Amino acid sequence: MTAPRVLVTGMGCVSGLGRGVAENWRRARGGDGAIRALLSPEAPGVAAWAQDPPGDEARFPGVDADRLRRLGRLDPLSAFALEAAIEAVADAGLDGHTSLAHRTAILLGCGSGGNATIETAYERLFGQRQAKVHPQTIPSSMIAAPAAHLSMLLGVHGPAFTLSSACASSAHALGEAMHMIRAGRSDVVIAGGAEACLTLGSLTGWRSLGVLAPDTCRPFSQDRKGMVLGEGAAVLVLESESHALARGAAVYGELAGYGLSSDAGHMTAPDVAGIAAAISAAHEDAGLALDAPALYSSHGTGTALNDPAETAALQRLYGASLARHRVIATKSAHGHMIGATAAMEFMLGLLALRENTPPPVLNHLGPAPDCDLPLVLKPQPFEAEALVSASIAFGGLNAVLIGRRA
Amino acid sequence: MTNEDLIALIAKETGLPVERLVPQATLETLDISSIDLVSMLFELEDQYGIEVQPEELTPDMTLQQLFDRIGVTPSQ
Repeated sequence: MTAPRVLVTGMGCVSGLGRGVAENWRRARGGDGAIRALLSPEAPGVAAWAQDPPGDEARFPGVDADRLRRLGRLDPLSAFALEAAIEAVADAGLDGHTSLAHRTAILLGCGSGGNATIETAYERLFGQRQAKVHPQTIPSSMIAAPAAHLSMLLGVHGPAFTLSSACASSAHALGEAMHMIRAGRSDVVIAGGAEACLTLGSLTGWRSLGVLAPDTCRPFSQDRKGMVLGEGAAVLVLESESHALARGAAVYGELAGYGLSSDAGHMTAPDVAGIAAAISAAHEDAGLALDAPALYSSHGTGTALNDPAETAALQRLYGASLARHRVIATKSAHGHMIGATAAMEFMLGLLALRENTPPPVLNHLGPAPDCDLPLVLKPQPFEAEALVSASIAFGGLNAVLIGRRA
Repeated sequence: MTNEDLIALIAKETGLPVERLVPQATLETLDISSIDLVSMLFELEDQYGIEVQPEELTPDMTLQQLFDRIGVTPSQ
């Protein structure tokens, strides 16, 4: 029996670029990036933070107030996830659909839990020397909270869980979601990722690691100085082809392949062979020839180590056919959204594939000798056969997704 | 602490609209979950230094009884 095709029938997101897919895509496509100075003396530097959210009613339109109340305290991590998921489910036309209750799964990727909640509790304990913290500290901050909150809000009784693999979390989530549908375990999976990491403790941890750029994110560029953090969520509705067709759903494209590898080498230094292995496996899974013109959505963090390793992996794997592909790096627009970033990049990549308009790599100052790639540096049409969206996470956890037009 | 302060605190911790928080309403009819009750008591102690044990909050307790137990002053 042939495995069913897995289609993307809904999308939702929130990031530094704005609230909702339309605004995020408009800004990414037009090269209007979201990275700006952090306005806090305690946390100097730059980031792409999501603007202050509107009240719950505007943030979660159409959601029953009583149902929302029962979720308890929402860390920004859960609030981001819910906002993106509500948009995606509405976009898919699945609001109130009978399949939500028992034929739907929820699979979210998060790099860390509710940082704001944890840091507030720790400030009380270790800073103010108080004996008690808020009783909802644990349920609000647990890394599984977004999946749980979403299941409660939507009345999804099928499998719901969070998956964590650092910066590849939502690539793993989407890929494993694809396999759930291929295996016939679910007809619909609400999958993606969320991250709320722009807190003082988290930012300080990242800064201490020495990977944050003081100016901006310049993927594959000369004078690149590191990555820039973002935050938010991106959620997609994945659906088996038969389920989508039966209800006449509009389709964005297909999640057609998923390749994985682990470097088993170093916590923060990527491995060329490991990256190439994941990309190769994704091509094989999708039945996509290595020389078919592809839009390659890079991990492209702008760090000293990632960009040359990713470049070398592409050169090794694609050889001469690399010139037929085009490389984008949307972290230069929305920042590194950690657990949410892969889903965000796959979403933007799929829209670019659909419209033949790849979003440009921003802040590029000129070619870097160790990053010789066919980059998209200004808006220009490119008709690719497929999208190859790569995530190269700390710990050497690599996951690559292939998207196709429907 | 005035009863208005307490109502605002309960509304914030439970997400219930203020108009439902009338003196004769019981904790049971308001359908306040145990975690929200504990959160409420935490904020009460944290903000006003008033300690109430969770076991004192029985399902049939009305908000008026809670006001009396805490000793709130009527708002102006």
